[in-house]
Amino acid sequence: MKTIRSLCSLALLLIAGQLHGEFLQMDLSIFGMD
Amino acid sequence: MTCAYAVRGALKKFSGVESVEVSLNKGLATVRLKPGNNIRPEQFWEAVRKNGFTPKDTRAVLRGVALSVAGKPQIKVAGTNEVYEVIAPPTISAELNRDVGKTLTVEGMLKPTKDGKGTVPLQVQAITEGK
Repeated sequence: MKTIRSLCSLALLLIAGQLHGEFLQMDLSIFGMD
Repeated sequence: MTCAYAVRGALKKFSGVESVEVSLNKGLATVRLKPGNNIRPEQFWEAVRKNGFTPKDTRAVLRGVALSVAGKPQIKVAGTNEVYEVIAPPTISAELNRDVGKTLTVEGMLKPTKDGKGTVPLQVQAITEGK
């Protein structure tokens, strides 16, 4: 039972990870910066 | 306090920013973001403008879901719910159209609009993960 629960939690985490999206890095060129 | 320091401070204030590095010689600010952030590039461009500078091309690495609308590829960034129209070479466009529904990590360029309004297209240069 415990194993099944753990597997379900892992599956939910994986699904959440798949649905997620975001910017990871941005390199902004800035004009006029001294 | 130098102007570069002010820009660095303004960018670092956003929740979800992990680190900011500013190179004076290159006129470049590199911002690394934490997982789960919901930052949009427009927020950074506005912060740069507020400090008296002009944001130019922004190279971005992002994770998003590939979409296809009327055969044209788009990328949806789930964290912000923003959908970017994609401009890409035919090979990359074809790849994106094939991977509809998949979460991909892509590298591309965003050009800020003059008034800072409206969604800009994403010029995808490479798909780095999730192919």
